Amino acid sequence: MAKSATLTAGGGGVVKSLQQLLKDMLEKKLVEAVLVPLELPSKEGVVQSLVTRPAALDSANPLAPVLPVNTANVLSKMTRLASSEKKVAVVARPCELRALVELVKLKQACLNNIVLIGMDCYGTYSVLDYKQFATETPNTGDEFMKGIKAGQADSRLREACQICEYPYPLLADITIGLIGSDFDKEILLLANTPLGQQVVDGLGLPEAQADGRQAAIDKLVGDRVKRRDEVFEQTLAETKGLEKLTSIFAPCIGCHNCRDMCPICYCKECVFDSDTFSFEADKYVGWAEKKGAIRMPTDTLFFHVIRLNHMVTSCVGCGLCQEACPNSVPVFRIFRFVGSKVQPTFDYVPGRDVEEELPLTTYKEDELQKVGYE
Amino acid sequence: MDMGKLAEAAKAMAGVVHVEEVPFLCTKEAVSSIGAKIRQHKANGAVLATCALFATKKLAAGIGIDPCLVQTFNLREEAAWSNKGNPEAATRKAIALTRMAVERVRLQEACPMRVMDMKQAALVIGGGLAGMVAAQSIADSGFDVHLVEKETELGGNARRIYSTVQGSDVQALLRDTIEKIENDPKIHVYKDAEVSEISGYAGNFQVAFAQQREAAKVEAEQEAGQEASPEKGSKPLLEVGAIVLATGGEGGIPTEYLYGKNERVVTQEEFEKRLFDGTLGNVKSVAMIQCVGSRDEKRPYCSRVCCSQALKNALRVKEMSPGAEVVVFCRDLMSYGFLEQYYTLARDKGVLFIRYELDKKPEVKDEGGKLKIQAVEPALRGMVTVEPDWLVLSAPIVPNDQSKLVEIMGVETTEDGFFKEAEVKFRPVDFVKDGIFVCGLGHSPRSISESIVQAQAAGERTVALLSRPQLSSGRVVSEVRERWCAGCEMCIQVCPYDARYKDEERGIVLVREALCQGCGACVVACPSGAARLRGFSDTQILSMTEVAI
Amino acid sequence: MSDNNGFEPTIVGYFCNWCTYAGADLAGSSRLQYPHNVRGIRVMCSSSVDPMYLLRALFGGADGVILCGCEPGDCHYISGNYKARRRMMVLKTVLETLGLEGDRLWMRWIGAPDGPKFAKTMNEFTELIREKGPNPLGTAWNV
Repeated sequence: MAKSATLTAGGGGVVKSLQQLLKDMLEKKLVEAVLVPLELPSKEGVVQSLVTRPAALDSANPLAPVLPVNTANVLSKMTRLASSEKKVAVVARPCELRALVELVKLKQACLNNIVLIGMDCYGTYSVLDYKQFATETPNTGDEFMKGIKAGQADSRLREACQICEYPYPLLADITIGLIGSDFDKEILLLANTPLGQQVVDGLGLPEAQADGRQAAIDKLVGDRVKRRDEVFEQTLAETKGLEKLTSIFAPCIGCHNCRDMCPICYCKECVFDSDTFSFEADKYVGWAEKKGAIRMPTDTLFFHVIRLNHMVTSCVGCGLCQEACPNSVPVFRIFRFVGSKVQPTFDYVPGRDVEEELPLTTYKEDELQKVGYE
Repeated sequence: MDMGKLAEAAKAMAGVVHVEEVPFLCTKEAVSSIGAKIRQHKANGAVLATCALFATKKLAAGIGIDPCLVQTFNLREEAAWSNKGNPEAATRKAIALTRMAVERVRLQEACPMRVMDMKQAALVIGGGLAGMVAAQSIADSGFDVHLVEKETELGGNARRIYSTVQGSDVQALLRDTIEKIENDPKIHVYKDAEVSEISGYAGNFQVAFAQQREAAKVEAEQEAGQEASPEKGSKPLLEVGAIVLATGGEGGIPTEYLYGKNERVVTQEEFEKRLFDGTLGNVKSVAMIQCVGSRDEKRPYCSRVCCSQALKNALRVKEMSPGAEVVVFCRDLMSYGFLEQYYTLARDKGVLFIRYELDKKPEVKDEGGKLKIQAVEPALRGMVTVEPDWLVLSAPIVPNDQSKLVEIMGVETTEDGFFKEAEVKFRPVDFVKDGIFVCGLGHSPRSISESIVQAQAAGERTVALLSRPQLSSGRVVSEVRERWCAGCEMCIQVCPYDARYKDEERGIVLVREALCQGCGACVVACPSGAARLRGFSDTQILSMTEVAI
Repeated sequence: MSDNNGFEPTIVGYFCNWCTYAGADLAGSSRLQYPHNVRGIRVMCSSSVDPMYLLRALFGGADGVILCGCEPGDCHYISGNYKARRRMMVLKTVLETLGLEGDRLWMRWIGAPDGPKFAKTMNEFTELIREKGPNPLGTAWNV
């Protein structure tokens, strides 16, 4: 049962209210550290930072519409070796939280003493677009939310965000309920777990009134699903078939940035970096003899198909793969599209439930009857 | 098939130093000749193109090399006989298969066997009839047995049974069995004790158990604020090579037909007790209802013994009061095998059997303290009414709660809570996990003689394991490339044999080689390739795939 | 077989040691004829076949790839074929969504006594692949 409280926005704007919220958490000793994006001194970007001094939160900007690094990766780095002994509040977007839940299932992160503060998310820009945006206004977070309130169409929103069906956190201790809130006046705060409850109670905020949150979420999701289907249709038309795929992946240089930025790809040493795919010169010449000519290095498309096989059941569609690609290969589009076909086969939504087993570690005796008889 | 062409092609394959056509590979001369050639050419592997029946391991043992280094493929069945009348196709296929086998051996590494010592003692959990019979049969073969029983006395469910339908004296059997057990120097009995921890694997289990009264004393001392002395709270540690689970079951408690509301409504067990201790009084009419709580939605299984129990008690009633009316309401009569004679006997003696369907159960009413049963008689298509002195209900057999043991031991149960065997036909008293066996009511409802037979089987299986002085792991087992392991535990989740575990300190997964069967599920589950099968690697399969095309 | 009537497909098969491979031997010893195009690799269990191998075969130019194991419920390693089934589902969905001719990939359940089924399946599959034509991945250079 989510108990809700209201965070009254002071005159300073939405970002200031959130800064105050986090400061209160530190000052009231409800948590001992906060992981939140801080503005870079140049103001051209934000970077997730671990903050213990309340004063440092003056430059916190969780609403800056940019996602340079998936917080799930950050948290995995932090808690993989040993879980946190101190209470840390983590402010993250829904896709980051979903990825984090998947990493917890893969034993790559531990949620002990972590207070997850999930933020409703209206979307983000690419890092370079954000840099541009930051030159146009001093308060990127507030400006962005103003645009949302005004209902303006925003062409700078990343495609991953335009088609995201989960703008609200699925699993968080506390939800910052921006959707449906009149966030200039007040922001809805939902406590979803006993841990979240503890923190919200400690803040001493007034209880919330009736909310139009669900209706607003439904509308937003409806729009996003429509856009998603459009993009999927486009993706299908542009990529289906060997010819189209090869031309889409032609610019791929095998840098593996997509894999490195992906929150789900957790392997210490990827199979593609291992000797499994190292061959002697004679082998390459042999292949070249068979086909007349072969592209070097080999296995360009192969890498992506294998990566799909390994991680697509857990793909949360954060889109950082595409952001990281130096040659703008539409990796996100393809991976998300394939994910949308694979995940429903197992009735699986990545990040929905920590207890839900990963589809490839379990099985049912009575399922997929058609396989083996097609 | 053109053997010459095959030999030519083979000579040209990478890594091949010698090719030879041998008329019969299964002769002693052939074996020693091959051995000699291997040593002569300093080869570190061999490929044999043979028929399907070839015993590779024997040949390898004969030559004295690791069997992993000798690769066999079935030239006869796969190439020759399946392409009759088409020698070119057969030769082509033979060449491809040879190429694949050569690749495999070229990249093969040796796989030595690892040997572990066997702890030659057994643990039996459960001192009921099945547990005791299993313990006795293990002790009779010369091994030490530790028998742990939860209650303060041995005997389990059999303590509440007096006779069988064949007329055996169960209490005497029980007395004799217990006496033998308690006087056997090889059997160590721990009563009022429960297993608390088990670790290890087949051949080498470590078991901790706590004796309840001791535990209660320690708790009381702690609550009173006294310091618990370390010896009192300590748990003894047993080292055994095999474990038998005989945790048993008991009669369930009916929830219908006025059970618990009228003292004349009893279970078969309670009724049998009265038949033997003389508290039954003058009996004019007895009714019985079968399948009370069995074969329904909640518990779909048949409890197997209740029909013979009903026959047993019905015959006894007729013996004590020949004129008494005995009516049995049943859905079917499970008088299987030789029990059929007792069904005939009962009917001869005038016991009435009335069938009822699940959707039209008999109705039991209490009219001023007197019981009244009304049921549909299918042949008459009308109602019959019985006003018995006693109503006896055949309650189901319910397994005792095994959840703690299941968690500690990692064994499987069925949906109904009984222990699940590895394979119903070929391994009926084994668990999938090596070294653990099962017998008795904890596995399934069964009669006393059936329990005894099953317990003896479990004892046999235990002895078969314990009598090996050492346990060797298979040659092809899974291993972990530690540097690559990210500790995601996907491999642990897919292993059906519980052969992998997490080293919490190092954050990586390790393998219990004794339990690994070499199925390779872990290799596929691991995305980075940290899991591999020693003796059959990814590289080999990929190489074979390449040359197959 | 001469090549003048059309192409001869190369089929790579991954057969589980306990069921399908035994079935293949039975087919052979019963003199049941099946195409020489099928090259079988013996694996311990269908669950030990990484989709990576199947993809390697396809990307390497195999015209057809078939994975065979014991019937569901009969796996020698208890649940291997259930796990393989799920992985196969993922692989097929990936290939079909991308339009990479996922129908060149078959999974079949063939038990040890199923010699006839083995031969029949191999015949059927080879015929299907023959009609489909050569695998474009076998000649694509820019992949």
